[in-house]
Amino acid sequence: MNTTLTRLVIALGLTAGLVSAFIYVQVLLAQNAVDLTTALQTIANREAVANEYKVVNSLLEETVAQRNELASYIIDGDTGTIAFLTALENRAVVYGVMLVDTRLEPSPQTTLTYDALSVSISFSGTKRAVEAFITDVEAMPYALYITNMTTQRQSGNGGVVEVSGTLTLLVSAINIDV
Amino acid sequence: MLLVPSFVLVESQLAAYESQIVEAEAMASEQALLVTTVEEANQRAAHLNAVAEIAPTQPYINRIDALAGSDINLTQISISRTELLVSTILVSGVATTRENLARFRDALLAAEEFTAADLPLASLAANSDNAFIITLTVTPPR
Repeated sequence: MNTTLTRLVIALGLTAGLVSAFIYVQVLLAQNAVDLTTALQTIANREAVANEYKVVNSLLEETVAQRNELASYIIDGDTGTIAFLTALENRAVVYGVMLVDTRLEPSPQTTLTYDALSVSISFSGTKRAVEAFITDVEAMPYALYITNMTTQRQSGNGGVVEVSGTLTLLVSAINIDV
Repeated sequence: MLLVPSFVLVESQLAAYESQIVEAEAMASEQALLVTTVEEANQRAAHLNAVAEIAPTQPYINRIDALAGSDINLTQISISRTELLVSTILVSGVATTRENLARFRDALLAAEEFTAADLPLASLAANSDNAFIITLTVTPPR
């Protein structure tokens, strides 16, 4: 009787142990299945992002030249300011216009995206030269426009009309202290 | 005990996938940087388009010169903008006769670039050598 009872208790104990182990492994497995599903979903999402990354990356590689050109239209810091002023002065020389005075001032903008550098210049030259100069300045490869301009005309020798005046340009700029 | 192989398999798969996720996350952060670059370029392009829409000043001067002809001696032109638009142009000069000055004012009024050409009546008092200042109001672009 005692032996039978002992065996029964052992068998019951073993069965209980096996059932517990089975349940434990099943719970772990279920948890891993959830983790696996989440991981697969995450990978799928990341793959979509990676594909988009490739598209954006190739787009950027193809548009390096255009983006550099876009950037060149906006003055960038002191170096950009010097380059712009040099280009302006070279144009004046080409047209035979004398630049008497040049003043710079940062100009915070509210209407446009970028702030601007205000460039005020005084100039003089023949009417034809000044007109050609101003036309060319307004067409310079920069994001700029003339905010105000005053010109005076005087008849000079041989009927040539001499023009003197002042104008203020606003040139879009980044990395300047406004 | 039959579930143990499955458990081991799933565990190993999870480990493999986790390394893929780490790689993909690194790529995603790089992509965010690229997107910023693209957005910056778009912003610049939009800005340049906006500036390109701003009318230059010299065509207005050319137009005034063309309408003045030889009977009007222009001595000063002042152009100013309100916000981004050329708003007002002050034109000073001397006309050979009052008739020529009135004709010049009428020609400016008829030009599509200008909506108003204000000439003080006193400018027409003298019979000849009429000094004048005309205030032009510029037509806003459509």
